[in-house]
Amino acid sequence: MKIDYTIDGETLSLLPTDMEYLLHDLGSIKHIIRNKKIKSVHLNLKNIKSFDDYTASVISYFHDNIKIFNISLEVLSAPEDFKALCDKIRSLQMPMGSKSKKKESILVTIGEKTFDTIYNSMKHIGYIGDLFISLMTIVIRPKILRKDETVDLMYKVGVSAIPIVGLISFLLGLIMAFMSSIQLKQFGANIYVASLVGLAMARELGPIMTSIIVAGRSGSAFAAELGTMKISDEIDALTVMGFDINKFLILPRVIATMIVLPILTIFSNFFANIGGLLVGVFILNLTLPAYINQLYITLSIDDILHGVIKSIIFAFLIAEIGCFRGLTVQKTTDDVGKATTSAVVSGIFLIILTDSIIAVLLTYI
Amino acid sequence: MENIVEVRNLKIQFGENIILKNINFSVKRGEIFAIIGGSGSGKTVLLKHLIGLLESYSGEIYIENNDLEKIKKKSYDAFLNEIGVAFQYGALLGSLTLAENIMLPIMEYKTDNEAVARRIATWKLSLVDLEGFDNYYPSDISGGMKKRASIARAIALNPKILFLDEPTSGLDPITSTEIDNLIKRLNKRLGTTIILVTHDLESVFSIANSLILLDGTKKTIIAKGTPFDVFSSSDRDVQKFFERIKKSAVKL
Repeated sequence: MKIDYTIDGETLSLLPTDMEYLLHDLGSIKHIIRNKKIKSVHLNLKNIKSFDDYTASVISYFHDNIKIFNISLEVLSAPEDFKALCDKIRSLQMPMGSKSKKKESILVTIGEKTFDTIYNSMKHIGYIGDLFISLMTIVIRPKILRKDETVDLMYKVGVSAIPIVGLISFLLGLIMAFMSSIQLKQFGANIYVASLVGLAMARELGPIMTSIIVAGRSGSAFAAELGTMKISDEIDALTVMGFDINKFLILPRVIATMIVLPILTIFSNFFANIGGLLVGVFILNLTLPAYINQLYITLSIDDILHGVIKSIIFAFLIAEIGCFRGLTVQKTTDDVGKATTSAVVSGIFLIILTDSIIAVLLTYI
Repeated sequence: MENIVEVRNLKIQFGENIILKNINFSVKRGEIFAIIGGSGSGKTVLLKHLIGLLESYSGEIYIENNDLEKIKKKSYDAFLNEIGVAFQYGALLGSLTLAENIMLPIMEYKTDNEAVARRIATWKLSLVDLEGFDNYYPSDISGGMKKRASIARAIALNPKILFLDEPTSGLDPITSTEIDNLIKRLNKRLGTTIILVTHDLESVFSIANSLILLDGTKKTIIAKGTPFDVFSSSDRDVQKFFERIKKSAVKL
């Protein structure tokens, strides 16, 4: 034990030099009380320098812990006003447990989660419906679109993303060409590296990779921006000023993303093919005209359009889910973090899911 | 009474932009000291310099006879233990309950025992008349309650100096009076020196022992002393400030 103590008959005298020691030795003190049949405890504070609410709280906690043995506690060598403070703290009504650590049964949790999911899905469907109506309104009356805001967002979502999209696509093309060349070389089919990189990027990887990058960059940004606006009551302020949140905040983001994502996808295809071309020319010893000619023969306008149209659909999904998650933020900054994560995860999931659905549909149609 | 804070020839400047200059004042231990002035006069900037959050200054700031510049280099953590700050909008962590907000500094600096920390938090909440609100989140309570909870967090470690930034701004007169009474009570009960930034004159006259008045145009102190001294000053700028405040109060 870190505390000096003496036992005189049925009285245990404790002489702590630090109140933390009293907490540290609580188990041992209880053991002594139980085994030595102690009836009263004298807590001598002559070595304690600070008589503040911390000291009083430790004594109160100590008292609560030894109360079960039905013994008395006497505090010695303490100022009178400190004893009054101890009494006040001891008389405080401590709340039961903590709200944040509330434990529910598993059935209740499953039930709550199910209802939450159903409720959120219904809300999401309603939100997408509202968004479509607003989109139609914009088509009929393009003047109501906030053009400056939309152009600014196009810059943020599109132009700023070109370096990262370019670099990742270039490296992806390089890797694809390099990996496929190992196999194709065995059959003397080096030239098909151009077809493989070109086709895979135009139809599948181009739109998917670009969309994933944009979901990570801009989908999360939309959720964080709108979430923060929600917390600081900016959304409520706009609403009471008579603004339609969909038209004022969401549509510029959705439209900007739908315009720039297809363009980014074309950039992505271009950079990936540069990567493939470098491997083709410098590692597989193909000539530049041969590589470009093979690419020209393989790729049709349909393939490129296929990717571009898919990227428009992905753009809608990324922007709408980012904004929706932002608007679901309730009151705390914690919610903003959750909304941002959820916007990225849901965005990527929706991209892959939609791509799979399109692939299946196109196979059977 | 000895000085707990002393500011000598302070000049605050962001780049080319001078915010305040020729600032000289001292705060006595145990008093309630107010920094007043119109919007944009540099009150909050001065407060942030006194607690070491901003460092764009020349001149000297002494806290308990120690140079703040040296404190920042050598013992800033210990200094932060000695002061408490309640920010204008509360700055309570939204993901934590009120008790958890107050337990945060207690568990960092005082004790690892959660039960003891919770007990101290409950005690601090009772000191600011928020008994029973331990498990409420900041989003569940009103603006006045948030201010009181942030004061409770600021006094969690029994600071020697308590800095309050606009403790009554945005509150109705009744809640403002409650906060004023709370500040007086804390000052009396805990003996804490309180430095508050405000533009609420009613509050200043009811609680402050002394004050300085900052002027946004002159970028310096235009009056200092007890509230009565400052109010009865014959200086034109000081009179203009009080007239402006009076007019805005009448308009309301």
